[in-house]
Amino acid sequence: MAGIELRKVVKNFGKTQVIEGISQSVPDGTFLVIVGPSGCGKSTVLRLIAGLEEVTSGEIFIGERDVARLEPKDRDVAMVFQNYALYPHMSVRENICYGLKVRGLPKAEQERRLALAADMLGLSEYLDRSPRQLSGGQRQRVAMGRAIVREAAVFLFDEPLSNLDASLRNQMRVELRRLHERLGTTSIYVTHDQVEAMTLAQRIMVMNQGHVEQYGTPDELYLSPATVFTARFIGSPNMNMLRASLERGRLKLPGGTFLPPIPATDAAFTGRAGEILLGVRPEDLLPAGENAPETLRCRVELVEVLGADTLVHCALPNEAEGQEPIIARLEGSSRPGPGDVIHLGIRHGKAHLFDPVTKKRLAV
Amino acid sequence: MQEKRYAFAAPRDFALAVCFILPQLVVTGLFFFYPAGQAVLGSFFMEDAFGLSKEFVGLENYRRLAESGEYLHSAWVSLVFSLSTVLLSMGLALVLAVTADQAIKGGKFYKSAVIIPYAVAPPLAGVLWMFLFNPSGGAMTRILAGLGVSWNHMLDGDQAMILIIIAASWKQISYNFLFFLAGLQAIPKSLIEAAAIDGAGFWRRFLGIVFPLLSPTTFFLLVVNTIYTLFETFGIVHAVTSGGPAQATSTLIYKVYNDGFVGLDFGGSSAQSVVLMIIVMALTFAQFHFVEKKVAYQ
Ligand SMILES: Nc1ncnc2c1ncn2[C@@H]1O[C@H](COP(=O)(O)OP(=O)(O)O)[C@@H](O)[C@H]1O
Ligand SMILES: [Mg+2]
Repeated sequence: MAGIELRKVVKNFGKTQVIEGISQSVPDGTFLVIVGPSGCGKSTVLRLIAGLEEVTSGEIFIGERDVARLEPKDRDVAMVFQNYALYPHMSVRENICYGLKVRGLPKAEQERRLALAADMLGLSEYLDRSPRQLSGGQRQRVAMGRAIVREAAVFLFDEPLSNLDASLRNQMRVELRRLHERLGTTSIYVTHDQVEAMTLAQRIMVMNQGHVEQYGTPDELYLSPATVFTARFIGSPNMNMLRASLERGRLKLPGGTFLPPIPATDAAFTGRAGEILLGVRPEDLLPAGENAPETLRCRVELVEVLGADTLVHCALPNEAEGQEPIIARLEGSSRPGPGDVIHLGIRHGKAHLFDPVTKKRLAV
Repeated sequence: MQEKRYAFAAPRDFALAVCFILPQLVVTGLFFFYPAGQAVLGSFFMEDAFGLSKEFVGLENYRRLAESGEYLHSAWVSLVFSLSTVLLSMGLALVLAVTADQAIKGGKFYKSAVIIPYAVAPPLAGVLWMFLFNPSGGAMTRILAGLGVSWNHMLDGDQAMILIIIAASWKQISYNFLFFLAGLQAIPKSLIEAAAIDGAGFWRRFLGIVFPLLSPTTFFLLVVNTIYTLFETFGIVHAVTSGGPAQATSTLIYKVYNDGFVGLDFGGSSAQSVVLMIIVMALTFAQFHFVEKKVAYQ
């Protein structure tokens, strides 16, 4: 086992820069999830680590070794592909043992590892079948078995669950977690699904257009997103982003209401005035009394009843150009109807402020 | 190479379908079934030397074939010719296809260059090879002479065989190349990548993953090329060596022509073509049986 460290890793395809100099270290034993929209470079990062693509510049350390110029087979990594990449002409057993056979492990050792992995993944009965006789979930397991038996320093997963149906995906997610707890192998898992990222990860790396937006624990990302991008990308429904303004240390909301004074301790605010972006998660909006001074007055447009709670889509009138959409997650029992006017307050300490130009977080 | 089967919903559809395939059926009947039937019939008769009378002789023509040293020699010549041509054209095509599959820069030019021979008409190709290897002053003949090889395929049976093998392979390489390249590109890249991560180098991947996955294509080409060497190479043999010298390049198909139209032994010639027909039917059957059922992985 080993940690991974990327140092100023750059990747160009022809003239296009796809990875814009990523430096990040992943401690030994971590389950890291790389998440981001499609095309942001997640797979490329994974393939650079695996050695399936060559870095344009930079270093990649696995443990103490810079592997950036090594062949994939010399990097001591195992990888699970999105389409599983099982060898169709080999049985499950041969698929799982191929990497061991190629590396010349003694037969007995191959058998021992095979038995262990097959047991762990519930594949023991299927060892003599061919991949095409297996269901999607079973193929997925074979692909994982092939990685496990290698006992490699690093596991790499590229959207391994995206071809499964929803319930199987949830089940496999739990199994992956267990597997990691059991083996403790440093793992990098790529997905575009932020829910998958939040539930699986010990650490998340949010990527956007070839760079890292934020690196941290799921809690850190959720509770204090460093950029507007992360704030909107993590969490469902998305965080509401309102154009507010700062006047004499107080935040003026669209519609004219003021929030309570912001503690002047934060250097970012002193002497600051003008436009600011205010982010509020739907669950941090609370129904408030009509006469409370610090509320958002909005008109309900659509109500989604989810049972445990209710998603209320509203329009918030603003001074300049009419309306801004806003979503609140209210208690299940609360059922405003379309057309109603409701008053929403912001949960104390849950306002996220961002610079409208740099899109960076302003307050902690 | 996957086949779709359609069930016709109504008799009206069936009638329409018949209309569509009728022209093809007529052509096939006229130019294939009719002559084939004639050959089968003819193989049971023997004509006198002047072609005046015919006599039913049962399997006599076949018995004579089995005992004819000349026929066995011709079968041997065909075996050597077909095997060498198939191996040479498929082997080279595979090497070229693997190279093209890897090549990124200049790939288009390279592919076009390999495909061009297929567009050259066979008689032209035959003439080209004849010029190149012309015993008196062909370009290749002179190069070979420079290397200390005296080339004269008009006199040397082995050289004649080598020449028709090269001539027959040349065009077929393009054809095989196209199929191999398509076959290679149909193999998911991730399989190769998985094997690379698993620790397999180029050769190991080729032998353990690529070649087995290519086997439906390989088998298909094996059958098609064998049929090609057995039949379509008549023109090449006729143009380049006329079966000589001393029957050294008289393949089965050439002998059918020679015995029938030069030797005027229609009964024997018919029996020979029936034997060839049976070989082709067996090959086609094997093709359908194995490619459809056994060798395909998807
Ligand atoms: N082999 C390649 N050649 C050229 N461009 C590529 C190649 N692979 C990926 N790209 C480009 O790099 C960007 C990132 O791709 P990728 O890492 O696959 O994104 P993700 O996995 O996050 O969806 C995309 O814009 C994609 O088009
Ligand atoms: Mg991807």
